[in-house]
Amino acid sequence: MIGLVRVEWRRLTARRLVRVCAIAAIALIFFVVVLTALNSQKIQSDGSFVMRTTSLWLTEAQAETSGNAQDNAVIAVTSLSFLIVAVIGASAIGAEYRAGTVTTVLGWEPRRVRLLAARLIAVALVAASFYLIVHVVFCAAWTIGSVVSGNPDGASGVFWRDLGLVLARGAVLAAVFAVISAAIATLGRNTAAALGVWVGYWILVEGIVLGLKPQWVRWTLFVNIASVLEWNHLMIESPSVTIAVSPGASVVRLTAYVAVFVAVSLAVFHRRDVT
Amino acid sequence: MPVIEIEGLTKQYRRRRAVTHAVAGLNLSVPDGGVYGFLGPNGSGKTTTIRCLLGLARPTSGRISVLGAEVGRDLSTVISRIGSIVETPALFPAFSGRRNLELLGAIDGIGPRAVAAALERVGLESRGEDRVRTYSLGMRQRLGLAAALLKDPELLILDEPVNGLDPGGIREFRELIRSLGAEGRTVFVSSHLLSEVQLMCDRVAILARGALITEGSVAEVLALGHTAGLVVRVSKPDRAVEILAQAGIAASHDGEIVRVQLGADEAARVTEVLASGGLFLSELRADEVDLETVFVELTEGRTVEGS
Repeated sequence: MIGLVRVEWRRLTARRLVRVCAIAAIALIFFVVVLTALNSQKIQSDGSFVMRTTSLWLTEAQAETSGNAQDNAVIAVTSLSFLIVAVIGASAIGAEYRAGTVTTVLGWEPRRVRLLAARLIAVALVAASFYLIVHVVFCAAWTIGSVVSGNPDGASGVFWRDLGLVLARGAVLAAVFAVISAAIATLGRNTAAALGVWVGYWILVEGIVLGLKPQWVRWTLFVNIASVLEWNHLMIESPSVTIAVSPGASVVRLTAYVAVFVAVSLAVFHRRDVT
Repeated sequence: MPVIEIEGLTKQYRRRRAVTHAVAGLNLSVPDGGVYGFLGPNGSGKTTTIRCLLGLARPTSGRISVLGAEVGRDLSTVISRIGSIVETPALFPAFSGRRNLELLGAIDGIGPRAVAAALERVGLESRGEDRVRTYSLGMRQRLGLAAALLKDPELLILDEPVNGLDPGGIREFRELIRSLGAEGRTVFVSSHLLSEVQLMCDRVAILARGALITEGSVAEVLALGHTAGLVVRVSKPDRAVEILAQAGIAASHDGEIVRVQLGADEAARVTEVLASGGLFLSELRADEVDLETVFVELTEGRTVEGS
């Protein structure tokens, strides 16, 4: 199994899509950080912008303590990363169907459950690695920018530990996104189908359904992901109802969602004829 | 012991309310060693049978064993001894030929040395670093064969492997297949190029409507064709048929060609009869039955839709 995961890892990391996404994300990070640093002042005066190291991830409580506005630049990069790993996960499977290589690979490993499981593990590992590489580069560049052109004060050991935990949780969540995406692509045998499901989910469930049934918010994906990433009790308020979402419950829900998607995709891949 | 045993294989496809029998109760036994041809018209169930053999399609009913292992239960125990190409070989187009083989080989712990040897055997060593998307169809077929040979397999299952090859490539491929069969491997090859199959194979099976029509050595199957006779070319074929009939010799004509139902050892008699009637031959040869003729005779009207 480890050998199979290693092969799938090699295949995925050799894919042009993965490399182009990584290079493009890092280039974008450098562009944004340099632009931010150029606009930053060393000392804040009226209306001026200061690039702070702590702006990488400042929780509400930390913001209150420090007297600074709550800010977390990591969120923007995380959102972008989740989007990219969803595409990478879908494409990892969809491209196989498009090229017809599923048939070829099954000629080497006919145990389908084992093969797909190895693929999903490799997808999870690639997504988590992608997330971590992009974020480490971003945090390093931001820190350098804040030292050179802004204010590095307040970046204590506790801050770095908290940021490290955020990135660790973010990496796991990136894997969740990618695996769900890959599982949907397995069911639809197509990259576009998987991405279409994501868009459909976003519009239909996170938009329309939540508008009609706000009390269902605790079951939706993005709220649970936010809760785990911030590791914070979220209070979702709407005119009719206030819902509390705890990180522990969110972990359970996300685990259940991933388990259902993986189990269904394994069962379907096991039974279905490969053409 | 047979390397492939198929008993009562049936494969149905349901589309809307219609049921199509791609394979209908196929029984087949492929002996160990040599090249075995698997023939049939389009839609006769060849590719479906091969998909079932390799576990890619689930039979509706029936039993298949390959190298002694039940497909569907134990195929993984023998897959390292089976090389295969199903239709056009599908490989990752953005990777080089060598990288494709390395990734496949890594599943079975096969290293770069075997990859280099496989590329050399199919004549792709100079193009190994090029991306597969730049390969011609013939080169992809060769790369597919290289992938199949990578495991040094006892059994090769090749579905239409000469598709897309030019005449030179077909000849090389034929020689390669024959050499693989001569090495003691079993090569199970489906093809619609019957002249190639006749030159390449030791035994053949002919399939139509998903069922076996005949099976045997090439000579045995050829013997099922129409009775061999003589072919005569004359300027007046109608007159030739009349003259031969008056001499008690059955004949028929097709354009300038007259087919005489006499063995090759009676060629002199045909010459004498026609010459005495004032007709002189421009050609006289034995009417050899080829696999294509037998194939058409056995499968005519049996083509079915979709398999």
